[in-house]
Amino acid sequence: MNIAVCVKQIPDQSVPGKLDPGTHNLVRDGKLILDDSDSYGVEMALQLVDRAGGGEVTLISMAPNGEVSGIRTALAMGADRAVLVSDPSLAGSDALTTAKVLAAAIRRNPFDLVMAATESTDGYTGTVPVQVAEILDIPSVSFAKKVEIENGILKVQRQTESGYDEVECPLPALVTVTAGVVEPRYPSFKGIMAAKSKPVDVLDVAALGTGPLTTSQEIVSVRAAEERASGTVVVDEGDAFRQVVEFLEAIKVI
Amino acid sequence: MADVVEALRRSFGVGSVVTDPDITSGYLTDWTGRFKGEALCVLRPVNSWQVQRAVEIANSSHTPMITQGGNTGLVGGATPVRGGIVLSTQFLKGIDIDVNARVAKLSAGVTLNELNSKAREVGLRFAVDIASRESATVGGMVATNAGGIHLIRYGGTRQQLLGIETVLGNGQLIARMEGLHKDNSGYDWSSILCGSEGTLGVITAVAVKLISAALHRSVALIAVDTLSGAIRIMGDARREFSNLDAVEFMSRSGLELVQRLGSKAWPMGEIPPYALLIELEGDDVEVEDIADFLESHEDVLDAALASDARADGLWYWREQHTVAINHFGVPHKLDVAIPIGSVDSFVRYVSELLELEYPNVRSVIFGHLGDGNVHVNLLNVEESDEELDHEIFATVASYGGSISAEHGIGRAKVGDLSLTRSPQDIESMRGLKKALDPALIMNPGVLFNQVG
Repeated sequence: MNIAVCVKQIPDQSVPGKLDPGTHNLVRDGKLILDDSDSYGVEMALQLVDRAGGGEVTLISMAPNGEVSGIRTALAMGADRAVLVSDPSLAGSDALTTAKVLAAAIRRNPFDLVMAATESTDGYTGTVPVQVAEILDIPSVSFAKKVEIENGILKVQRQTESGYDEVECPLPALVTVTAGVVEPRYPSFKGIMAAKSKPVDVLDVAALGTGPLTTSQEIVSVRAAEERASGTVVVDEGDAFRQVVEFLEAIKVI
Repeated sequence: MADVVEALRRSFGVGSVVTDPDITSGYLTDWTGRFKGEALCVLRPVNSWQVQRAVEIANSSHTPMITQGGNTGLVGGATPVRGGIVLSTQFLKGIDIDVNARVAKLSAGVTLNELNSKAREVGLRFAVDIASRESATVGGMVATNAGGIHLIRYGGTRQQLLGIETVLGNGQLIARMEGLHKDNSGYDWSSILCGSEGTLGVITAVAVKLISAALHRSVALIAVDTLSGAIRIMGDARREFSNLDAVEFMSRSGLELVQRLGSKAWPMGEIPPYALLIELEGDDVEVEDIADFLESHEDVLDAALASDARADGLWYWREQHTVAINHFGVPHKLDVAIPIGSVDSFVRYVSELLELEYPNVRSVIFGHLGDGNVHVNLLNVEESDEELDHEIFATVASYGGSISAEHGIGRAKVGDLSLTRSPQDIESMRGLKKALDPALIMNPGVLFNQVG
């Protein structure tokens, strides 16, 4: 059972982010960390390989500046190896370019399953994983809350607004994992020490052999979200309860 | 007594003086549920002059006044006595931060979370952090000299104080709120009021130091066999890292309660006899450095590590202790300080004592190892049964410790104060109280038995 897990290294979300005024892209020159939403896919992949009794978890990532600290976190959790595509030409890539790069990196090694988060915490397009599946020409199942493999068939509980659907498809396939559905393990000190010597292949675009990549998407402008309007203050002059009830009726809560 | 409520209503308006039992009940019981009181009314002033007026009314009618902040105390220090006025500081709100001076001027009712969310907007924070940060107020933190999890690096609340505004029991409003970093012009009211548990006056505002907001932190939760091993790891970690800002310990019984109450599983195999949590903070902190250190330490059984937001998941095992303990009963909470070199021996002594003589009592022992602050929590002890408490306090005294490390004396430990404070010491403290609170209206029954 070989699983490729797409992981993104993103700027620390506890530090306020900045946009480049020229390109409107997120500034990523500081330390990058493992996107928390990817840790669920890593955990699920480790559990699946465990259950299968053998195989490897390979991390697939793309970063403009050769950063590996986020990847090391996932390696410390137990992933076996990583492929990082790092090339200055990839700075500010759009979703489709990213998908082409990840697909090319995944294809370099045999795989049974590809896992990814439903969306990244800094980009939020939520489109990359399905594009990767399309390029790899494999089926994809999104919003998984539970993943099992039986007799070469992928069985997924796929979250919906009213509950979940049970979905099956053949392997190889791609699954996106909803955040919070498993408890990602904490790296142990032995895991962290071991991660230092696990292989990380750093490739540039030329080594991928995708041919020229052109970004077709452009961010034309960025504007601040509308400020939230201030609420209504009800002053109690004996009839506040009536005003509150009227308000609740107006918004159809009661 | 009805006259007092009437006088308060005339001075403050009906809305500020609450007697509705549905609302007052929240003010009458302390956080643990062990201490319950009664009160004439709950008064909710909105500024210092109102506080001064209230103290005047309390003085002239000889009515006890119990100041209450977030009511997160654990020793009944803010639980009212019958016939008293609860003065809630919750509507004393105001935050003024001088970014360059790194000084915050705060009304007493500002919660720790409110202070920190405002301070973080300008890259700063308050150095003292406690688990009850959502409700605990700065006024209450000063009145109890709260210690918390970063004392090892930054000191307690007293070390952060630059000034205070208070209405003393004698009705005098004293304001030293300029936020001076240096001020040796006479007695330091901040220091005197800090830790006074509402027995000298009402703290209405404080000026405090702020420090840089943490940019990056890394946490290791470490499984160990013995507390002496944990102490060796702590000593070596302090030599290895200059930016250690928390060292906490837990024991198996507490970790099991946390696991039972919540949905999380202990992150590394079996729950060990003891666990140590260390936090490092600073721009150059890497979990790899901590892993390196732990790998070479023979007392380490296993460890889980995380940085920044994920580190909260490791802190969970320490911070859920208070909630988990309360979920399984009404605890006796003994918050004691022991010389660090004796913590291991003290904990073993108490554990053996309980095993041999109180087999039905469930104990949960944890605390701030870096400060020698041990929290002994006892479940399955009658609320009014103080025999075991006394026995443990006497043990603390024999180790040269303190019967209150950070929670205060409150009502819970009044009878035991003489274990670690001499008669001359207590008499001088009473003298100070009488001078500042001549009618003895300020939180009677807290700290001293009788103040006559």
